[in-house]
Amino acid sequence: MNTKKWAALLCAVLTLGILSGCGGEAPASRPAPEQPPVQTSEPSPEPSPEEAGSASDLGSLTSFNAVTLDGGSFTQDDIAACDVTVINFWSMTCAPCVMEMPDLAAFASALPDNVQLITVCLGGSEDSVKSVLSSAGFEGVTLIGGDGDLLELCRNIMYTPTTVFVNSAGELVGDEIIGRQPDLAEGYTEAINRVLSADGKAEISVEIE
Amino acid sequence: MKSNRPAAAAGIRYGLLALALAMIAAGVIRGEQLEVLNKAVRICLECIGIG
Amino acid sequence: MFGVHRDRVKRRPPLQRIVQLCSAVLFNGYALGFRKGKIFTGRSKAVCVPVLNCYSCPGALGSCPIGALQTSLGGAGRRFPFYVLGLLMLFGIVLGRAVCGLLCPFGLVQDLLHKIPVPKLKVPPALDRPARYLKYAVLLVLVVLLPALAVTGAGVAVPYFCKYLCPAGTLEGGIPLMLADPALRGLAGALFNWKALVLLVILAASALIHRPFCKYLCPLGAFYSLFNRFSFYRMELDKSACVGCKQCERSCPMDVEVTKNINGGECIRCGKCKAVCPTGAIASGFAFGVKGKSANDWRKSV
Repeated sequence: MNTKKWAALLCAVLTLGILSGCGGEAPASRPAPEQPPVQTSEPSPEPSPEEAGSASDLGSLTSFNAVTLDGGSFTQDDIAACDVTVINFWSMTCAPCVMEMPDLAAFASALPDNVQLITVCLGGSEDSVKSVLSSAGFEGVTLIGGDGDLLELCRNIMYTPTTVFVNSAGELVGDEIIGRQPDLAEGYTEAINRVLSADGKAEISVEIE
Repeated sequence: MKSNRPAAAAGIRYGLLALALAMIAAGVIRGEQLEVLNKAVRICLECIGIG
Repeated sequence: MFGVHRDRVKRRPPLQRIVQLCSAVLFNGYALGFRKGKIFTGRSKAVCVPVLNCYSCPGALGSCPIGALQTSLGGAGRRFPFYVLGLLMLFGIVLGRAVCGLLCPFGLVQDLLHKIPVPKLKVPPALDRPARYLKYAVLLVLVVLLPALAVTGAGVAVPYFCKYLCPAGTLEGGIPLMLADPALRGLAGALFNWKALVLLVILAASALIHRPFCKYLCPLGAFYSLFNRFSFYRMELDKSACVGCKQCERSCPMDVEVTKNINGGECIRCGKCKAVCPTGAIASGFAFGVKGKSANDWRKSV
């Protein structure tokens, strides 16, 4: 019942805590030592049909009608017009989403003509959304509402930011990218090239000024 | 002073209650509860320890 | 006379425990969320619950008031948070820190951990007293000032308390969601390791010290403590019945000087003092007016 015993016990408990903390939450998860598994690192020259990726579980975009921030419309035909459509889901209440917007805008500007990047804002007033996008320098399309497959997809999006990569047929290819990325351009380019090579198209490289 | 204490305490109590209700009403009129709803229905990655 | 020992003789859990359990289930009733790894998206999330309860908990049916406060303060409009602050004041003036003692699920977790039969640590007053002020600093800096003032390039601020400190978010939100979604586990990095460490330290400390988070760190408890003196729900000590045995002070988990300041900021209204008082001098309940429960007792009571 003396201080030394309590101190020893406390030290033992804290040490256990720190050790398990270093490896992640012991009962719950062991974080993978390599890069986030949502993004495959090996280039697959001929992806087999089984490697569909997890994004297809979220849905597809074969038929929908969406409203853009400028009041225009965006449908599956606009998806079909490009080889790859990168879609970034974000929200005004998500600080990391807003903070990565400038990187997203720079990446979008550097894309070739056959690839487009659009954003879907899941929540926030129009004025604040416009303000964020213009300070970030994003000049592309932003969707603020929709129905059909897009509505269903939005319902399945659980985290923000989430980015998905859609081919011209409206299929979500590969894995979705969750969370703010330290090197957005690299990860996104890989994912875009995965879609392109699956469709037998030439891969791209993106250079940001 | 001592006999005034209960009256003063009750005054503060009901006053703060009225103020709280007025503030809630003001917030609802400005639509602040929608901001709360918007944040709460999407998983906050920062809150759970990621990004 | 036997009423005081009734609980121990009959061996049923005290009323406080029953209320705590019901409250935890009520605030986190979306059971489906745990199984599916999703959170509730219904309209009730526009309303804040009175307790510290992460809105990213799969079961949560309402919004966390501290999370909502940071969102309002750090949001794009930077407007004064009337709604959230009004709700917080409402809970504060009606219940005070009874929220902490009777309703808070994280308080329940600490209470249960304290039952683990390990030697209990008595924090020396020289350390304990100044440390009680730390929670006000957490409230002022992490919850209010940093979200309100920290300017990020985009104008939307990070919820600093939620991101860097809140153990409830890790416990109720992070762990269940990561258990359900392997993709999420892969994303856990240095930040998660830090939050897991914070959670573990608090949980471990709870076995040794009673309610360490409530005493030293909780910003919500700090806020409600300001209302304790005036809240409708309050404790009352009948000085004429008090015999000065100090059993109440010895049993108080928050080390409140019950005989001198029963409605002080540290009292979480758990009712332990009431249960152990040999003369039944302590009562708790709602005081509605000047003539309240027992107007005469105002002169006698604290």
